[in-house]
Amino acid sequence: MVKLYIDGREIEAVEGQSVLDAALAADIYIPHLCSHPDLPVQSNCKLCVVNVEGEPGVQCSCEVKVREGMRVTTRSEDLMHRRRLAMELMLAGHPHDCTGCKRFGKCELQTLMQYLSVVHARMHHVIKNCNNINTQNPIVNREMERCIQCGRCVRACQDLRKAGVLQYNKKNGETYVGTKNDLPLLDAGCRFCSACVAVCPTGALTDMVGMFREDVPADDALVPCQVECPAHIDIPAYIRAVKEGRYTDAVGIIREKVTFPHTLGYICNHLCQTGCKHKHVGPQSEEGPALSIRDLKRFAVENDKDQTWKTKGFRKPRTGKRVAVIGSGPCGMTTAYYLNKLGHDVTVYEKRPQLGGPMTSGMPAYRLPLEYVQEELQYIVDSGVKYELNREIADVAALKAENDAVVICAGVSKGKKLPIPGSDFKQVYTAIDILAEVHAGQSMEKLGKTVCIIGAGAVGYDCARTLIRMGVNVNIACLEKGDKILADKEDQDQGREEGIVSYEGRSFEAIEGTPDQVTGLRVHTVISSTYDKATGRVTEVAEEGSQMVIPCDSVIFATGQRPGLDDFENFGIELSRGFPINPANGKPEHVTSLNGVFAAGDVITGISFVIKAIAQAREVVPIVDKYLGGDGVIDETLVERERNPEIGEIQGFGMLPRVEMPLMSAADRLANPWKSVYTTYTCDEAKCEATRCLQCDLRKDIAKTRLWTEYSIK
Amino acid sequence: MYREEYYSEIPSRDTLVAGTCPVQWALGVARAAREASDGKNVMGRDGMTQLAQILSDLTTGNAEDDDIELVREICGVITTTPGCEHSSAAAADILWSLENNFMDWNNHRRKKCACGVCWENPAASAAGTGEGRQRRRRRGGGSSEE
Repeated sequence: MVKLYIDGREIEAVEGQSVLDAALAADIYIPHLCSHPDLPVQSNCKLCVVNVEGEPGVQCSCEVKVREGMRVTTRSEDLMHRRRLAMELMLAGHPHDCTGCKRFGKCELQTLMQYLSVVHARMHHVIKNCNNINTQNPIVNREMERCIQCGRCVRACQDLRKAGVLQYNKKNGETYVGTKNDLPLLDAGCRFCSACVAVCPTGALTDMVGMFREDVPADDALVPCQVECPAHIDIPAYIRAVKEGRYTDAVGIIREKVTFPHTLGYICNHLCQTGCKHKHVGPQSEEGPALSIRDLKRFAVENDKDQTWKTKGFRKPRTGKRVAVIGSGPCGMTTAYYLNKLGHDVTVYEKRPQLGGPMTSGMPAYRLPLEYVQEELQYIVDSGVKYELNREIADVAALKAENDAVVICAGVSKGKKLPIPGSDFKQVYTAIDILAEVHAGQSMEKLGKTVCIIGAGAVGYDCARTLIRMGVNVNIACLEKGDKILADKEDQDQGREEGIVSYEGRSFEAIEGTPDQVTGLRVHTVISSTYDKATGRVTEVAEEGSQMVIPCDSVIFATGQRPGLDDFENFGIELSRGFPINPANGKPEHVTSLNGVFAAGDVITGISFVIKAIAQAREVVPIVDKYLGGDGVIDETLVERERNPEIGEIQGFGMLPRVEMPLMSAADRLANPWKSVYTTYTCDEAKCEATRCLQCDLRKDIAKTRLWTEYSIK
Repeated sequence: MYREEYYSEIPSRDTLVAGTCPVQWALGVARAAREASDGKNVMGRDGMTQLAQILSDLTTGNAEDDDIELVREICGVITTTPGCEHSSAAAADILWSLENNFMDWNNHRRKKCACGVCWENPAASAAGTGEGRQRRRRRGGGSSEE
């Protein structure tokens, strides 16, 4: 360490440190603008000038290294005059409309003007002609007339990222920050990492409005895929691991947050992809394609030969506490897995003859090969979770009496039927029951030749595509139209190719026929409809004369599911419309009306996706653990990671096309009905796709600059 | 070395011939130094641009009373700021011209050019750098929103 004096104050500094860094570290403010903790020194703003005793003139404190005993003066009339003049020179070409700037109130330049008491007044106004060359681009808002050429963005691009896209350009004597040959960012090979935005001290470079969510902490919002993922998997990290061929690391990173990575690689509803910033980049479609995050997850798991993550992670000493988990779906098994790791003795109670809930009894094999789910369930069982099959819990209070805690993860296992005439006919079923029967190997002859499925959500399409593979003619009808249809677009497209006939925007009047024989579904076309969440009522405007009957031999409702706890005479906890509720507020929450009984997953959220059920488990486990006397900590690091800020150059990066997993033709899909419809990436394909990641997480590593107001001595 | 770079197109102070307008010469120096600057340094980039702007206004009759003092102030800071050799040398030359030809400079404020160059071809004074488009600086201070 080195001792020196700044304005008479003795401070300690690290050898080799600059005077500026030493002062800032000691909470002494020296004005600066071009300096940034993550960037090499350029010393071009001349605001950090100081006097060093024994040396002539002024020095830039960002360049001067600390020396033992050196005495530095940072405040004098002359120094302030120099700083003000430098600032005035920069401002001569800067717009005056601060309030119209996107960074108003958060602008370093603006705060420095306040600190130095400088206004746009003395200098002759300079009009810059080159600042707005090719500023159009998909992600970064570039108002280059606000640029003061401090060079932070250029150094971030060249030195920090090694991307080499931004540079100082010069035209007619005017210096401006631009790209090689003034190309638009997309053509210049920009990696769209937004490091330039992160370091810009003015409103010249800002994120496009609406790019990030504003209802989450700003730092988290920077990585939209991770924010959107209900389990908050460190997606950029595992994509990077895939790119680098570290497949076991990729799986380890995924497993830090979820227990069924392989399953999710097939059936996740990939909310992460809806957040992916890449969808704003590239010319392929209106918005450009998001990264195929789910498919890369599947690839990683299927290429994870070493499974090194298995030997890592926490495992706490046994507590002797007994926990019962009701339901063995993704929520129940994840809850059991973590509670067991926390040291509790966990038993899962499953009413069906196999573990897995909807993963093994609802999802068709063409979407999710059963053996992969079973492998992942077995891993949880092998970790020490006990289970009882064919054991339906009808009285949770009795179960609680035998255990220290109970967690209800019973899901929504009962299908709902719409109350229309004929819904009680013999050949009227629910999709969830039909899918379970197909899984159990039962014949579907009872459905007849043609079925009509009401409801086009994920379950509706699972049922439709399953039945069409079994030789049944399938019609699917729903109230929604176009983009509003709940099922994934790929399900709709593939279903159509496979022969499913879709009736969109229909309202259901009655099931035609007799109680013993359905003959059709009477519907009419709806011009518009609104759903009132509070009352659950649908108000519709019907098209006159549009009534028709869709002929069919049976009808299947895929119009929602319910927990079914209210089917029991006395389940033992307070329920509202069949959902367990927290008596404190009457809402379905993890806490129930019975002390020591908790709830999680679809049983409180309503029907949802596997990833959300896992996220629910990760929410409830800490609560249960704390109730049992633990600390509730389940975070674990299975893979140590370092982020390399140097992403380098890739020509045409923004134009790289999305690599899709090969999809079987419709004829092949029907000829091989239970085979997965997609073929996993090859290593090269996975690397290509992973390379497209913008690595938004790197931006989190860029140091935040402190404004002068944040220093003690200023 | 740096002097040679920008004096390749204009005479150096040692080779100035009679009849050269000192303000026009200073303007040439400022422009040349700005051209020679790598554009990274605030003094070379914005300092020289500002000087060229003011000098251009002087040679086109748009100067204001305190412009000469402003030139002196800017040049004074640039010449003593570390790390900007081009602009430092140029500022020293401009300052030299100002100190040695103060009357000529001052006359420009009254739209008088002893050499008779500046008013005959005002377009030439402002051409080439974008100067002179919006020459009048803001007055009154404090009107900026910042």
